[in-house]
Amino acid sequence: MAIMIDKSTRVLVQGLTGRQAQVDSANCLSYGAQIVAGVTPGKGGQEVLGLPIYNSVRGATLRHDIDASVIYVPAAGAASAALEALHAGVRLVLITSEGISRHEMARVVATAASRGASVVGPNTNGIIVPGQTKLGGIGGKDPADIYAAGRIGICSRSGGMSAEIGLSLKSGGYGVSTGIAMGGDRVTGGRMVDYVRLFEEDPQTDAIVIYGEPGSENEMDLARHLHENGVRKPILALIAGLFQENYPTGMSFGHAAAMISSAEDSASAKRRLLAQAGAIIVDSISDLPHLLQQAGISPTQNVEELT
Amino acid sequence: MRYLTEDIGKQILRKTGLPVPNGFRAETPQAAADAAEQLGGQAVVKALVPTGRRGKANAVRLTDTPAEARKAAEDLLDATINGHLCKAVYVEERVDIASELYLSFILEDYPPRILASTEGGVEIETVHQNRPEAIITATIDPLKGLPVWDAINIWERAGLPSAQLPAVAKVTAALQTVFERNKGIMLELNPLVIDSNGRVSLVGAMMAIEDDTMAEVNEDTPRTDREMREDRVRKVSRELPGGMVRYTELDGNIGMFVGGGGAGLHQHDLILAAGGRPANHTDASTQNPDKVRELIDVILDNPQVKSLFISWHYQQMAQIDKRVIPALEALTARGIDAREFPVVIRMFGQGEEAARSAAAAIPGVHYLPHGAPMTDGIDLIVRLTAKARSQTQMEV
Repeated sequence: MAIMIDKSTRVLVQGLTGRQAQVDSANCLSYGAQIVAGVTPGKGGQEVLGLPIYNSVRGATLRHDIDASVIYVPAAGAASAALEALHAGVRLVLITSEGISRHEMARVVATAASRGASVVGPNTNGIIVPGQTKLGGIGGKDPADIYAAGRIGICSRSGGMSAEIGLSLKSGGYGVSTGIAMGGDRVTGGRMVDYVRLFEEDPQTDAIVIYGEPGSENEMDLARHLHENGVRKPILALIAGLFQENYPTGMSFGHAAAMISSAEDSASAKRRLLAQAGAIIVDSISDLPHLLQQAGISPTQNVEELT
Repeated sequence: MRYLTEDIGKQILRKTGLPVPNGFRAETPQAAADAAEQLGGQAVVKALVPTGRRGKANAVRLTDTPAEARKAAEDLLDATINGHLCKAVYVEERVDIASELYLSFILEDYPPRILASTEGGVEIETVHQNRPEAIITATIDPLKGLPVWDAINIWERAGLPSAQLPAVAKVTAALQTVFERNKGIMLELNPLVIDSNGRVSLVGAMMAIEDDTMAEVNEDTPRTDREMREDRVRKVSRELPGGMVRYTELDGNIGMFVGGGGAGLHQHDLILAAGGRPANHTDASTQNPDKVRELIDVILDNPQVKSLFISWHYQQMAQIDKRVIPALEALTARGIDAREFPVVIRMFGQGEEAARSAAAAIPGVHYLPHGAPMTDGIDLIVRLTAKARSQTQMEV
């Protein structure tokens, strides 16, 4: 079992006629993902990668059972594409697009909440369940070179760091239950604490690695969650951006931010709060295997041969 | 994010019909005097710089005559206020103040929030510190917005007298619409004034908006070499297609071509922890070879640079040869000998073979083996840079 998705997840790709969508989707298909259709308004009736293209999400859901949609629509139309998927009843929407307006994203988040659906991203490079399936560009063309199957959950604010964490775990004999690049934007659908909660409930996950950085309250919320509910599984936190504190910051503008922030938005403040809440702080990515050993997690990797 | 100066922010508010005092932008003392004349003599002269706390920086002056306005403008123009060079002042009508409120909208983490207080003015942060209950905070449902009745409830909780509720709530609801339409990150009205006739006036107004384009450079300001290098990168990032490049120059000696946000941040931390000192930080998403060449040329143009570190995260979606090859081209175009000037590459992903053979053709370039840990690259560049530095010192 994994969180969010598994090999039975049926996937729609919005914007499948675009270049990046086709590259990523071809990689997903060869990794085992069940992509069943695509949507591009105006191109209904065409075929891409052997998959039917529809003009609307509704058009696709009338003919296919869709569990998740991955959005490759350019920023200006991405929020609208996400709303379309949510209103058509899709339960899981991944937004890969970069540069979506925060206000538009706020409406997407509120809509997802009102419908009990999940949104990953924006600016996510995807979710991977090693050996089973992947959504989005995560893992690239050869995901097995980065992610081994195993029992460690990854939740990363950066898609690149998600890969480096996968690589570091693999070098120490560890594998990944589910890897989530949650997106690095300020306003995202799922927040770090949401994914950690899912990993805590997942019997196939023994420990959780998170990557965070300055620029949002995700890590503070996670620290609060751990503080209130206790540490149920070892949680290793790699927080980058300490160096920024060595350099001068810009002048503050207005008073509102100073009055609503619960804590300082810096790497060291986040490390301190997470450490106080019981997380294991990771100074260097190469320490991950060693720290997992110390936490009593043995390397159980099972690198499945993929066909 | 872009901070708007007061004249632009207030223009946006005025256009939507919100009650903003009359005011003019003036770039010379004479223009300031003329503006004061037009406003009837009495005025407020404020430095037009995108920063808060101008009152405390003595950059807001009350003037009684056009001559005083001229004098105030003479003082403020070309002065540096909170780190910003003042190139213009804002000359505004004086409003007679019966009470000062505080109101702001902010969208940092979800959801958007509103803050309201009947104790507005320059001491708002002190009020917040001493009596946080004097500032009402509420979240805004993005699907519902802020209807007038919600605004009435908020201001009632803040302690605003009943008689003033309708007018203030109406303006508050309209401001929320402006905030959302203009993709505001922050909109702060401080003070939001109720004048002696009970009318609302937006005397203090500051706004920061979402903005993907890089901050515009003020061409009038003299630029240092460092700033000119930063400008060059800003220019190519804006003008050439295919992803962004960012460059911030620092005081160290390791030239950094790191990208992809998180991996760049972590590697920068690791270099400092290993005793190395980056000469710059970069972030980039581009695969446009012209952009990469220009960025590398800028990195190498910094006279402090003693080595080059090309290390991203394992590339899952991009072609790494489109980054490594132009980077090496920029290096050789400058006639740099990699046997004396350390070059360390840790780049994995699609196009790796082409990247490796281009690197192999240049004697002295260190390309880490496929899958080598991030820390191997850090250790090598820090060690080689220290060695190169001590050799240079010996030659000197």
